[in-house]
Amino acid sequence: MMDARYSRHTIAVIEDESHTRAIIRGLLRQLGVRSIVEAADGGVGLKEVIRSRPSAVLCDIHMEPVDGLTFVFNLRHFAVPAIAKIPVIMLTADAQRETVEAARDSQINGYIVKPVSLAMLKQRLDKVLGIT
Amino acid sequence: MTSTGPDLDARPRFGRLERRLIAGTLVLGTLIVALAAGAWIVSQSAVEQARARYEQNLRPLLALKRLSDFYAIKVVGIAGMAASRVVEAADAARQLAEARRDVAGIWPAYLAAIRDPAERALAATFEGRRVEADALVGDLLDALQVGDDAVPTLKLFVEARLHATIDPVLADLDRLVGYHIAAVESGQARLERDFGRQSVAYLAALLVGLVAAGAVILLSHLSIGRPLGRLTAAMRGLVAGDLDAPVPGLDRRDEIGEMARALAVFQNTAVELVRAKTAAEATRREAELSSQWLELANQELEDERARVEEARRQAELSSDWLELANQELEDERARVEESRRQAELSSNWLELANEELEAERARVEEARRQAELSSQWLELANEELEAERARADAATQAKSSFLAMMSHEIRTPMNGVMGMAELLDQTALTEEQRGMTRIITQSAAALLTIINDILDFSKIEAGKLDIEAVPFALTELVEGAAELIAPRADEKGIKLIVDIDPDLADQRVGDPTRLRQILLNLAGNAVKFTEKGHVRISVTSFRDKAAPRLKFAIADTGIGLTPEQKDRLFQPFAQADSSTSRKFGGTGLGLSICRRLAELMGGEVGADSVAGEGSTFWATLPLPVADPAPVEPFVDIADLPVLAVATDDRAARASLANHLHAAGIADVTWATPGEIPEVIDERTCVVVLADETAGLIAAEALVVRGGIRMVLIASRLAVSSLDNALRRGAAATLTTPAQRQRLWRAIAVAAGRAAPEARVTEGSERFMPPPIEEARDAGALILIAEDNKTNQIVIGRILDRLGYAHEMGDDGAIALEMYRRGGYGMLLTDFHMPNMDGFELTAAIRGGETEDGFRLPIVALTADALPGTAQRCRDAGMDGYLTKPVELKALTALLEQLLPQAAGLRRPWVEEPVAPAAPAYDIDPAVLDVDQIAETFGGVNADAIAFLTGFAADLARMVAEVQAPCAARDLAEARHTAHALKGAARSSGAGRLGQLASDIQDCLDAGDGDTADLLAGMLPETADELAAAIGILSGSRPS
Repeated sequence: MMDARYSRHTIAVIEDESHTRAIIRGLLRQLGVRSIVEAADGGVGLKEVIRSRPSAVLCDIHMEPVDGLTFVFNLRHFAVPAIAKIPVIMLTADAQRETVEAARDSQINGYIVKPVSLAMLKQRLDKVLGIT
Repeated sequence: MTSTGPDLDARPRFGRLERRLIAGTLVLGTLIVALAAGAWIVSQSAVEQARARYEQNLRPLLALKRLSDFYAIKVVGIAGMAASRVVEAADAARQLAEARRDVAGIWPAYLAAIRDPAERALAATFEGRRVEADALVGDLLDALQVGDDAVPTLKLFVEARLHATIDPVLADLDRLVGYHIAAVESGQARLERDFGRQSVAYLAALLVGLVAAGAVILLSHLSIGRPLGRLTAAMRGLVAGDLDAPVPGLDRRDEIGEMARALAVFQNTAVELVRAKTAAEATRREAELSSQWLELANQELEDERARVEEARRQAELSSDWLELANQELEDERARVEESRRQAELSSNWLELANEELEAERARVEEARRQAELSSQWLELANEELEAERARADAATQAKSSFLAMMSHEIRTPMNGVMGMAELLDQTALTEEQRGMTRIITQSAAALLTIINDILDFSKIEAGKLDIEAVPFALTELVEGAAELIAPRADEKGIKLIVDIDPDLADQRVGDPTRLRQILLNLAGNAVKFTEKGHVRISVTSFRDKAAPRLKFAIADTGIGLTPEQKDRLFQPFAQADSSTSRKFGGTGLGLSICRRLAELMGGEVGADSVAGEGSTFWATLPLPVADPAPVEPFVDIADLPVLAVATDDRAARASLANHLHAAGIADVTWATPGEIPEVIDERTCVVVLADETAGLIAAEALVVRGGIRMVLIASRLAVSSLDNALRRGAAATLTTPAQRQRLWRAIAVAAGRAAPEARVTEGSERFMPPPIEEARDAGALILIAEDNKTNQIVIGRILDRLGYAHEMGDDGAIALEMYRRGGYGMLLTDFHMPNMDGFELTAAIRGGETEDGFRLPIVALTADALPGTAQRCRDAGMDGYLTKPVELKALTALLEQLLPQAAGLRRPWVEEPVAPAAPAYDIDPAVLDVDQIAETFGGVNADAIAFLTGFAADLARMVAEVQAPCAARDLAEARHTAHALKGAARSSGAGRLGQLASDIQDCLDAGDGDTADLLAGMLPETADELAAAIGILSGSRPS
């Protein structure tokens, strides 16, 4: 399903579990994304997002030492407006829905329940990247 | 708004009120001044009086007192003291002289000041004694001046003369004093009287002043304050909104009147304003309402339009099918017409025969002749019927050939499209183009499916579909079908489980193609209509009244069906409802075809479902056992202990358990990924079914432990993204759903009883054909007989890619000639060609071959997929056939089997020099835009590399020139260097570095030095990233 529409976007993946990260990387490549930035916690993730200015961020909630909600908060309060507005999609296991509802105040742009499937990832990314 | 008041721009003048005020103030002022003057005058007289008193009485009094003191105290005193020798005479003389001098001038002055004649008279009487006293004092002085000797004289003096002289003087003086005292006292009374009168006058003046002030205040209040107050009240009323209150004082001629008239004007204005506002408000509300109505109307229009569209589409679809149905109906009608006519004819004939028979009974000879006539007629009728049957057969034949032809006519261009798309995909394409070819392939595949459905349906309706009865392998077929569905299930995140009862015999008799078709249709639907959970394909035995059957059940956790939807399920053209067809696509024929196929195979299909929970579609079919011998693993693994690691999913566990049971493995232990035992026996094979991340983590832990014989089963997605350690650590890796034979082989490999399969990476083996002559010499040249140009290109390219040399003949006759010239090792021929078709060609070739001579392998390439084709080909003398579009695997197998001598001639594929436009480097385009570089330099050539390398060498300096001023908060300098870096990076295609520099510049422009410094800290990492990318580019450039 390699698609030229995705090849112009950079996507950031912030997830501490290496297998899940590898799977998501594989899914993104299948979609045709050529530029992928990765991090294993919210602190490094924030730095990488500022540095690489992705079109969207996929972010897990539970990570150490800096978790996903802290990452979103810090991102949304960053001094450069164009970076603060970067869309964020949270990755969550089923039981964490309450946390995700609470995180809506931090303005996340969507969430995906793990395990991530290709169809769901494509649907969410299309919505956030504005691909029809 | 008209001006009704006075001209407010007139020259300022004193108004009436103001004049009045001034007059009043002047009056009051004058009054005050007068009062003050009076008071002043009065006080002046008082002062005069006091002065007079002093002059006349008090000063003289003082003078007299002094005189008196002089005589009484000084003179007497000094004389006495001197006489008693208290003081020395000289001193006494001195003191006396002094005192005399002091009072010398008093009496004359006093005298001069007397005004009152009475007093003068009194003073005159005193004169004589005074002179005496004076002389006395003189004598005393003389006496003293004599000195101490005079003391006794002094004593005498004092006793004799002093007192006698002084005392009368003192008495006189007292009389004068008394005179003055009396004057003072009488003057005092008069003074007090005068002062009393003055006080009264003051009080009166005060009262007058108060009254005057009061009068003024009252007047001003009456003429100014009150009307002003009334006007203020009116203004406040206006402000509060009371627009109808009358304005007071409109007809006054003074300033108040002017203000009142001005207020009246303002009031009018306000009234009009309010009126205008209310009107506007009403208009606005009306407008709102109408716009709301408009919106509603629009929405209704939209809905109506959508409904019309839907109805139109439905009508289109049904009209198409209606046409086909109409055609059939026509045929039917013709047949019915024919039979009716026949019935008519026969009834006519019957009548006639009866009549003749009646006549026959009357006349025997006539009857026989009539019988002969009848039989003659019957013969004719028979001939007619024969002709009819022939016509019906011809019609049936025509239908069959039509279907076959349609099948061929449709498949051939489809073959062209799909073949070309696949070949196009193999060439050098841009990303966009590659995406397009994928879409072409997918669309063509989808179209082919629909066409096949339609053709099948037509065949079934025409009664032209035949069911084969051949032996096949059950497990292989079911697993193969699951394999085709697996990618779609994987994409949607749905588990696909295959569960085949291990006690079932594997070799069956039936129609594998149609069985696979049913399974693919049902399983495909299950995946299509399921969003999460699983799809489970199970095969079990099914006890029926008549004969034993197999039950194929496809259970899913999808959207389910309501009872109404279930009723319509297997009807043709109708999906569960039109909304699902819109959402999921499809022709709606699939299930009805499945039902017909199942019925043709002697079985049934059905569905059970609970809406919202899922469905189970099942098919029961009689598939007799061909060979009761069970399938066994190639290598014996029954004695191996197995530890199966899987989550609690019962269906998945059951499937795995069945596989193990079928291999004869008895010692199976189960564990979830979190409960793997500490100690594992070294003989045990661990099979990890990792359908969730927990399983992958457990597998990783096992690899770390070391010495574990592990087989890993995971989704294709997980398998493709495994890290190397895990991939190497597992003895074998399978994708879900795990296939039985593969699993057995994997366990054997893990136990060291079989060699691991050579990893075949599909589609990456690519060859080039040898030169024609070389192939001809080796007898490995392939002859292709194909008339269609597109098909020629397709098969030609395929053979090129597989590495086989070939030559093309445009039809059967040309191919025959080419064959006769010799040198070919194999023939690939189409069925339908002009001049000579495939069968004729084969016959011609076979006819020329001898018993022991060379037999040319002949393979047919045909778009026909009718059953019986295989037999036809064999009967014609062919060695095999392939259906178009050609499956690479099948072709490869046949080539390897029939043309082994060509395998060794295949050349390894050499990559063609790629056009500079789009080389596929594995460089993140956000870091370095290779396309931009290629465009700038006309390709990734030496100039481009030199430029980029130079840029990379300069990076460290440019980054430092931004970081240093940022750290020092020298905003101006930092902005300058950041801007320069931005420009350089952007023109070199370094997107990320350029964007970072741009962000730094924006922060500096906004004066935010802290954020700029933070971002600048990220420059070195980004620059390194870029340098690495440039390194890749310069290292891998094709020479």
